[in-house]
Amino acid sequence: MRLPKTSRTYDAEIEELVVGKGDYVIGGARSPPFLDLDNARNRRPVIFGEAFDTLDDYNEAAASMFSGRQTDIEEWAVMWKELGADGICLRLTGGDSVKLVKRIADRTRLPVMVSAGTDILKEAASTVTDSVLILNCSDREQSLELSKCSNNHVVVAKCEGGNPQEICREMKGNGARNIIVDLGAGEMGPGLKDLRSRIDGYRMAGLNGEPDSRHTIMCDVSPTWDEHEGDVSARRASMYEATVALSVMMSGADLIVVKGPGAADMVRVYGEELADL
Amino acid sequence: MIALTISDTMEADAACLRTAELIKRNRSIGMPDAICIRNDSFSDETFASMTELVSRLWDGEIILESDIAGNVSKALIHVLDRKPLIVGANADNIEEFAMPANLFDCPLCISGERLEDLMDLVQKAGSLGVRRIAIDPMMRNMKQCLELCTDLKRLAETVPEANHRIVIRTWSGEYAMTMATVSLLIDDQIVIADDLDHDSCETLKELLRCTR
Repeated sequence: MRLPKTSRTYDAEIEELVVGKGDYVIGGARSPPFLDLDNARNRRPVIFGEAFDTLDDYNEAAASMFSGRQTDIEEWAVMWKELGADGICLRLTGGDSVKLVKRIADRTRLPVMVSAGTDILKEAASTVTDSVLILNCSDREQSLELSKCSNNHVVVAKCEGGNPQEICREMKGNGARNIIVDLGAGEMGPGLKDLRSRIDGYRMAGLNGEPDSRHTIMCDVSPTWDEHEGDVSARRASMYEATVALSVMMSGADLIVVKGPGAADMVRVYGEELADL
Repeated sequence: MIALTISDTMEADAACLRTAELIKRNRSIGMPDAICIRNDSFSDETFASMTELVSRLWDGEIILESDIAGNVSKALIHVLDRKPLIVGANADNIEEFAMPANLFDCPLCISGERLEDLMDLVQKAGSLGVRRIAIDPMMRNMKQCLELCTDLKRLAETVPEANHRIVIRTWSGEYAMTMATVSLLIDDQIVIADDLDHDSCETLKELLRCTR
């Protein structure tokens, strides 16, 4: 039987973001995720491993996977590099945070994402000039505030269920040059279906050339660890995390933040196979 | 739907234990949805007796997998009222497999590596009177799962022969779970795995609960 062609073409491509010291590129998709049928770009999503400057309230099962190196955030970041992560997501609370960001960016030479209070993020944006940071805002207000002083750094558009195009427009109006969209955290819960639908919808809007829709998409799947009771095994928690990561990758997420090294490894392998690398 | 496999080469005691374990898992987490009895022995009697044994213990859906249509016919006698999915039809044996599927009104899974050939086989099965069909494009990795399932989903919009449930046959362990995850994220497919452990079943069940 002669079958009709099912491949599709799209009006636009997702924009590319150059991060870190200039040797990491995120995004650039020209098709639905990984789909060679539609001439996919052979590029997998990047994986950022999170590291904290304090272990208060940090998940014990996850901590057990870092061989004690989680007690020193610099060592923790280096361990992520050794594990094959593409970047580090630093969760900072204060002290000499900006110096720490610089030290970790220089020592690992990986792209660095920073989550912190507005003052720390502002200082990092003005102080760090030799690496493009991703300023991971905690809410819409911080996204708009950081857009005013982000220099060349990437600002996360925290959409919080709101219209992503609208917040990206506002951020651009405030001066943001590089934006990555966060449509919500990835969790194994009732919100996952809606999150996948929003990621897919934003990605397709971008491919169809709709204004303010061509930004790359990030998704933090580390909250999957919070859903378990305290006695969950690291293996099971990692399976949940990797499965949620795979589901948001297949919807169109370009950057995934993970908590566990097991999930990071699995997600990288999935991404490489799906991207045919 | 997720099905896990019991080989007819297992000893009866081991098969009972395995079935009991799958029943327990189904009751505690709702998975597997089905048991696939596979005719690894190529013997009609062994296949029939294993089908009888498993079906006495398991009251859920059953899949019968064999390369030999005659063996399926013998095994079917023990599970006629369950209308099991029959797996094993391909270009070499479609006429033979169409007979029991047609006679006992069971769904038939048809396998083929090239989509054009597979659609021809679906057409042929229809002309032989098979009413319920599932298709197995013989995907062997998750990349193929993504590409072929998407291709078939799009084809189904214009080609009626593509508009059937897709069967994914996979092995065991973490890679099988990943194949299942990719398939289930694309659509409501039938995944037949050799085996998945308790954690994998639990994770897949939770994923389905959160995404359906």
